[in-house]
Amino acid sequence: MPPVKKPSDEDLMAQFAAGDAQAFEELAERHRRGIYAFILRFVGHRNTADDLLQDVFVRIVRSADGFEQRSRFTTWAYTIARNLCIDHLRKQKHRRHKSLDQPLRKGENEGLSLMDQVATKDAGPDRGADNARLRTLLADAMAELNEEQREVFLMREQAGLPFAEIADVVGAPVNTVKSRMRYALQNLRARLEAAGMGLEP
Amino acid sequence: MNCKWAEERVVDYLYDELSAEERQVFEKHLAECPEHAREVEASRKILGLMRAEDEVAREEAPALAASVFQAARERSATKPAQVIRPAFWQRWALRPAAMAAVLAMVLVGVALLVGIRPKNEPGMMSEQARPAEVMKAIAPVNVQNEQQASPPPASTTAEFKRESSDQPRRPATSRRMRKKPDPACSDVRPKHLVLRAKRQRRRQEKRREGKPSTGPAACPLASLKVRRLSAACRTRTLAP
Repeated sequence: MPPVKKPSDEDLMAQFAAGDAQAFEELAERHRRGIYAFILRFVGHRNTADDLLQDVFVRIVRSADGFEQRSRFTTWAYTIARNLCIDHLRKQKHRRHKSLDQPLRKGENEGLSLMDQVATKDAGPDRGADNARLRTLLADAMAELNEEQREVFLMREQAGLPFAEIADVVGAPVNTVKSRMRYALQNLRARLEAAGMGLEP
Repeated sequence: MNCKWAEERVVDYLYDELSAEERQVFEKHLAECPEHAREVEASRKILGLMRAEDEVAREEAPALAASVFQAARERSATKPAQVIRPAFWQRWALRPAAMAAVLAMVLVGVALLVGIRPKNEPGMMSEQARPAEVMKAIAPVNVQNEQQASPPPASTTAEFKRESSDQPRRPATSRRMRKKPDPACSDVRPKHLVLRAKRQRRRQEKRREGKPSTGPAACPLASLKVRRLSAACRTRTLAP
């Protein structure tokens, strides 16, 4: 007997749109973790990530009719997550003072940010970093990326979206998206090395 | 090799999106350019660290709130009726097809009425080729088909018209037949007069039943009127 094929995300979404609440529960179970990890990396706070995770799924429920069968569920769901994260960060930015993520020069979206100037090389390197320290380092490094680089990095790494689809979501050419990915990697590398994480072989 | 060329392909190389030839050229460049070699190495390490950390983050994911599932159930409960109704573009898309079908039916009807039919119909040929016994055996089934598809060639157009208009044969007592007004006078007598006459007749009958001794002359005026009306009716129908 052939093995029973699991329904695709898109099938489940169609079932849910047609009134099957069970299909939604299956989708939620499949993607809850990935979307949470994405949001956590995006906003950097557990409590906020928890709230936003609920918001993402509420929005999936509410706009199930807007989902087109042709598009991929992950692209659609992570776009919702990305938009909610950006909204959240914008609100925060208004409340706080100038962000370290802002580009140095006006109109410049790629490359170095203010953080590159203020980061100090003598931040007490502690080789033999344990896992907890590595985690905070990574989280900090991620939080310090500018928004455009961070969203591209996370959509590629966390959501697993191909660059072409990321380009659609953020509304930029594929080459620009790839450049942002490269800058993100360069910035992460600079931060980790500045914090004493040896990345060289 | 050219550093600029390689720079633009670092990400493609990391995600294995280069063609085989490009990858060869790129790797040759890495062997010659320590800066890009370090960048690729460091990037791979970062991606590896992040992916390992992601596993931890995924495990920490909280469950969805009951209210989210509640919202999903509520939405599903209100859903089925809406799903059955097609989107408006679907409804419109169906229209030309329906119109085409109606048009086709009308054309076929007109063609049958006028007596035009395609020559050398394959179905007819095979039917003619059949032995008479077979034809007899399937006769009850074929009677109608023949009438529809191939009227006897001898019949005139007028005859055929009559026949084909009779197609859906109704019993003599069908509603249409019963409803058919009496051709003798209904076309000349206005309805209110017919009704009045009816009422008068009924009244007369009642009177007859109630007082059998008086007879039909109980109200001479009324019967006179009726008689006069029906006479007028007859004369008018006969006139042309």
